[in-house]
Amino acid sequence: MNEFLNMGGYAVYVWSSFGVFFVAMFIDFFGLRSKEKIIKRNIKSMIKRKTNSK
Amino acid sequence: MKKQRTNAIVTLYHKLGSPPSFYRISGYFLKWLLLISIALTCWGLYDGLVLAPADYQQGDSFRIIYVHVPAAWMSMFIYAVMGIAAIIAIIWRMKVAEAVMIASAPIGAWFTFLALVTGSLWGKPMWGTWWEWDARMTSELILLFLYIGIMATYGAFSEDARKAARMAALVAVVGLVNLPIIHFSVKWWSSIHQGTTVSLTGESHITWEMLRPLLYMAFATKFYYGYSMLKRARLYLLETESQKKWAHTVITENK
Repeated sequence: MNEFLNMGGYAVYVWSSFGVFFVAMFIDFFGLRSKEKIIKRNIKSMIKRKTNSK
Repeated sequence: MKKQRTNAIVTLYHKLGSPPSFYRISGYFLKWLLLISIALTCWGLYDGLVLAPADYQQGDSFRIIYVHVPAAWMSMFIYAVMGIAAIIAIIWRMKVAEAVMIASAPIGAWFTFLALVTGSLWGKPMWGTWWEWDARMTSELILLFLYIGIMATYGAFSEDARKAARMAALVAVVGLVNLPIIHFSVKWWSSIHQGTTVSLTGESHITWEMLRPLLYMAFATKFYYGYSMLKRARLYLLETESQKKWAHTVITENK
């Protein structure tokens, strides 16, 4: 296990490469989900305003 | 028989060209694209970090290839998709093409950023430098600026989404010239970056045990792009058509 984590002495470079890759993917994924929530909520409140003013 | 077939294709084209149908049809794919992407990533990580043998020259540092190369491929692939969508958006004023183009930019920028950062993390132990102003790296950095430029152009005309999309499309089309420059940069100029190892048309200079995880990761990133881009494109259509009835139906029925 230690040998695996050590990556033949290149641990810093290998693990930070994989780390930054997955951090970026997670930011994209969760950012997109919260964007979806905001947009849908905005449209919902817009529809509500419209039906109320009628 | 033949006539019917062409009709089906034409119908599909028109359907995908209309925002409500695009929204509905793309909805069926989202979950699967994401699941396939996650499965391929898990498999690729295990294969690449555990099963693949260490390189005889680069040792274990070569494993960075499994994030660096898929990211670099995607940075160019996504730009090509975006460029084609931009051309369609300019010529036929197709709204779905605008959505695909704008939706591709953020994820394309992420992959370009990752190609640069992981390349830097690979360059330090192998070349002894984080960064070199050579043709491959400089043209990839320009690609990142193009992605950012497209997003900024779109953001600058936020009061008129259609005009904003057309302006962004112009930037995207002009930037297409950068793609062959990136691809051939290692041939045209003497570069610190190594030449092509994996080729679709010619011979690949890599053993199957090392290539296999790379292919898993390459497909994983393709499927994730499919997910992220379609989801963004759907939100783009929903937002820009929020005054229309189909958008209201989608929201009130919570689809």
